[in-house]
Parts: sequence; structure tokens; C-alpha cells
Amino acid sequence: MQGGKDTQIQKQTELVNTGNPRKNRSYLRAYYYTTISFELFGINSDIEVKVDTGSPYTVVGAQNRKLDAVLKEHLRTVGIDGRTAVEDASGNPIGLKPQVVQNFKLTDDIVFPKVKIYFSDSLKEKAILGMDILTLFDFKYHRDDKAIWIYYEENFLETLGKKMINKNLGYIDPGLIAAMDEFPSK
Amino acid sequence: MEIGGKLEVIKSYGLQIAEIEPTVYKVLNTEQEINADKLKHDLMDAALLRSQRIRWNRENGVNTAIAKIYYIIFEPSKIDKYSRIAREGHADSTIDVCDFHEEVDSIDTLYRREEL
Repeated sequence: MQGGKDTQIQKQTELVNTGNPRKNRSYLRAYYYTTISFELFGINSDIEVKVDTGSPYTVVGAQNRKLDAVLKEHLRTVGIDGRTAVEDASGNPIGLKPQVVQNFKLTDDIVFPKVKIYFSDSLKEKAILGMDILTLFDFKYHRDDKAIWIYYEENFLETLGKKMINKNLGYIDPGLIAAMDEFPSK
Repeated sequence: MEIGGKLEVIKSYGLQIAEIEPTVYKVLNTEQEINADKLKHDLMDAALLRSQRIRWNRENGVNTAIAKIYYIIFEPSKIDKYSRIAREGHADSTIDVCDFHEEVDSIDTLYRREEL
């Protein structure tokens, strides 16, 4: 733990690897799955996502078998956001549908009351946890316990809210968290 | 696995069930917290309508979800109907199915157009 007079105590929480050797090859080091929970249109979902540090977005395939039929129907009526067009590793276009989900649980300790993630018909049943969510925090892969640990402060929501470019949205949009200090200077 | 064997598996977890219609079973003791992932895989092709996870259970490096079970369904076409019914009685009800991942390796990462 770290901390000081003017800093919050930093805690750590495990991004629990829910990959299961009985259903996939998650005993291999290169596979890391975790399970996120959220509520959308009043319906709760627990979705297993592949941790993908190459993806700029967190995306749930709109045909994921753990999504309720009513929720899938709602998602069908939501338009594709052309501004956030992406491509997969083979160059195929992927349409994304942004949605603000509620009670997004990344770990038992990190819960967003409201946060923007994406859904996609193109991803079908797959789901990935991208850098938009992961890089809101410090995180580290520990080889000994084969686990990713996330470091956070108790008031992380307040801190993230202050960094939002538009502070009046009422939800966390990871794409609007300012990162101007990372831009190269001329 | 025959249905008789599946029912034996369910009983071995301490769950009391009532058959609502063929292939659909309602759990009577929904306060029982059990290992949903293990049950799901022991039943092989079942869908569970269950609470959101209560906690993780770690065993030999594998994390599995502990939850309350509301319905057990062996016919995929009936999941949607009973998901709706389960939500009426249990606001936290979620669908849990076996999600076997494709055997083939795939590169799942996504690229913004500006990256390319």
C-alpha cells in the first residue's frame, strides 16, 4: 500500500481470472478471462470477458448467450455509432453500440454506478475487456499468483469524475477521461 | 447424461427442485449458496438462472462463482421464457450457461482506424 499526507491510501484488488480449464485452455498463461457484472434496461448480466490490452474498448458481443433475450432485443434497436468504428485484427470493420450500464462491477471492490461500454453485433458471443476501462487504474500481472492486480483509491470515482472533459454527463465515459499529459510536446 | 443422472447431480448439491415442465426445474431452496460453475459443468449442457455471484471460490488456482440457483433448464429454447419469470421473483437473476471457447486460436484485439 502507498499513501501520504496529501494522497489517498492505495488499495489493491484482484481482477479474478475466471477462465476454467474445464471449458477452455485458461491454464495457459496467455489466456486471461474475468467476469464483469452490470445492469442494462433493468436486467442484470454476468459476462465473461477476455482481458485484451490491445483493444481500446470494452465490448460485449450482442449475441452473447448470457444476455437476456429482452436485453438483446433492446440492443437490436440501438443504432451503430459510426464515430467509434474499429477493425478487428484481420481488418474487418466492427460496429460499436455505446451504452451506459449501471452497477458495472469490475472486481468486488471496483464498482461503477454508471459507465459507458460498448456492444457489437460483429463480436457475436465474444466479449473483451479493453484498455478504456483497464487504464483508469494502475494494474500489474503477477507471475507467481498468475493474477492481474488493480490498484485503486477509495475515492476513485470522484477522481475520475474530476478528470472527465464533460463533467455533467452523470456517468463515467472512459473515452472522456483527460489524458492530455500523455500527448507529446512539440 | 440421462435426465435421471442429472437430477442426481442436482440433489448432490443439496438443491430441492420441482419440475415445472419437461426440462425445466424450479429450485425450492433458493437461499442455498452453491458453486454454480461446478454445478453447470457437472450437468454439462444445462442453463442456470441464478443470482449474481455472491463470492468467488478459489480452488487449485481456479476461481468459480458461488451463487443462489433459481431455475435449471435443459432446453435452450426455454431460457428466455423462464429468465423473464425468474426476474419477477428475483431481481438479481442472471443467465448462466456453459461458454466453451473455440478451440482455434483467435486474435480478439480491436484497432481504432486512427491506429492503422
